[in-house]
Amino acid sequence: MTWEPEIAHLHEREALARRLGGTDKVARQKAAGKLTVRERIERLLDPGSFHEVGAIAGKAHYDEAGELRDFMPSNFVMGRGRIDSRPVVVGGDDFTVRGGAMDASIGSKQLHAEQMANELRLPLLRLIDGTGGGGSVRTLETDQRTYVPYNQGWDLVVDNLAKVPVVGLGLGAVAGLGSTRLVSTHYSLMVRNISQMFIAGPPLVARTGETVTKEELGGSDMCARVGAIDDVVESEDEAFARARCFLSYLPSSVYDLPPRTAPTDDPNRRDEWLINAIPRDRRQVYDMRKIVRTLVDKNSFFEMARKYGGAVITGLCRLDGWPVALIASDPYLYGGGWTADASLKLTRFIDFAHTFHLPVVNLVDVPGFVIGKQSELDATIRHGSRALAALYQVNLPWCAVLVRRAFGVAGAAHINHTRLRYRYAWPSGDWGSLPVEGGIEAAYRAELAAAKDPAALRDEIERRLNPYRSPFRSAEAFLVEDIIDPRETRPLLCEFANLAAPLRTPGVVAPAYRP
Amino acid sequence: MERRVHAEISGVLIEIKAKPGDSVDADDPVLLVECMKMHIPIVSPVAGRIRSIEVAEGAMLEEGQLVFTIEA
Repeated sequence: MTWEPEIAHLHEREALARRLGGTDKVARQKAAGKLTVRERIERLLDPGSFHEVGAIAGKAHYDEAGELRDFMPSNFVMGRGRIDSRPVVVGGDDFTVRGGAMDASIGSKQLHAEQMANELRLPLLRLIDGTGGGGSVRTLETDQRTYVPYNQGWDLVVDNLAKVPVVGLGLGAVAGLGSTRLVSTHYSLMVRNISQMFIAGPPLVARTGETVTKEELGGSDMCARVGAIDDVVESEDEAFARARCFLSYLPSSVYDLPPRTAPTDDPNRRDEWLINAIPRDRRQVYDMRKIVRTLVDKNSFFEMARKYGGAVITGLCRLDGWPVALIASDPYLYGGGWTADASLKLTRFIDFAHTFHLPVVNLVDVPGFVIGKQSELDATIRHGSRALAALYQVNLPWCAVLVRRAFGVAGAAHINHTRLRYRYAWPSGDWGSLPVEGGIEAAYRAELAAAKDPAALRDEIERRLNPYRSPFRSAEAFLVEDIIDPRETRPLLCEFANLAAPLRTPGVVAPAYRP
Repeated sequence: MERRVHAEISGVLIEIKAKPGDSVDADDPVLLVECMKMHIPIVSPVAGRIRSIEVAEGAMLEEGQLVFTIEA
């Protein structure tokens, strides 16, 4: 029993660390409706799977005899654990110690968590509840000097984006470096009401003459709407559940492949209502999400960033058990036309799918870029061109289903046309460089100007041209490869997922993912 | 409780489908907007009674504009 006293002392120190910032501060955390960092980690991981690293790091005070008198743990708790039995790295800010500010942490602990994920090739979850990085101006007084700022560990943060799944959970008011850590992820969440995110909080902003509350400045719904984070949830438990679910579609690192789960749904299931899913009236909208949910394995659709760039729906799903990245158009928002933010959302999503070797299914109803003054003001053409570049830079297995419209440059961007056009069209397909409506005015300007009754001539031209829009005319010329019965779509997509599976190639891809 | 509904898209308001005082269900279309050659409904987020319609037929709506209020 030679070392028993030391082990007993170790346990004493661990017990001190478990007090976090002390009873009062923990009570304040609870009163704010927030869990403590240790409760969070416990609820996030498989029960009992957490192995903490660096628990007893912190600031100790000794008496004159050299005996430990008091101890304040570092405000960053981290280690390894498991999610659905797969190992992960987790690190969480402890707001009860100096508001989670970096100056009360031991910086190398955060670095260690990043490095652990990087070198062990494990997913990383950041539980963010801290005020920032450089800390407060108070350090001026303690250090009696300042320093040129640098972003500690950012080489690892960036490298992790290229190598392991990174999830950020905003679980409090988050500012500065904390915000940057929340956003520098593949998937980020905030919990409504308890979490706000900004570059600098209301007191600093007040100095610029702008008086705002935390919610007004960085409320979760606003952050999701502008695309600063991906999604908003109602509770911390929901955040943990979504983080776990997100990871279930992904490999532990890019050196591995997205894992297949035992199929739970019939790959040959045909849903009869799909024959009626698209209204014959071209102006009428329909529920694309309902179509998505029908086509993929039951209950497997995990939508990402629903509040942002809504004309494009993005998410993860399973087809015959295989994880697949799903893109679809939402006709309710700009008819599925690409806005600037939809383009940015799409770019990031394609890069994400590329990073983790996820085959892509694209359900297409794109009338083109959204047109008009606002669209030009938003620089939609630049952001759309960026999405186009992403599409042509990746070499993922890619299957497009032309559900309805594909017009113009954005419509053309449903597939990299230079590769095998693995593509289907529903009989509701309608495509071209410009739609007949609107296109007539441009193409027949002189005739219309000279006509006695321009409206009548316009209608007559439209009547004449409309039959040529039939997808069967395109199919005759093999300009569309395969017109299918919409009810056959799921069996064909499951076939695609099975064909794509052996083509997925593990490894680091270029260009690397940017948040 | 009053809910204020804002346009999620810009476009031309082509039809007002419910008037103040009408009862509607959640997801019932209240307004119809033409955008990208589509007729896109703005639906009620909740069941309730329409309190006010803030826009006129033929108006050009902007994204984020208040379009109607409803008493849930």
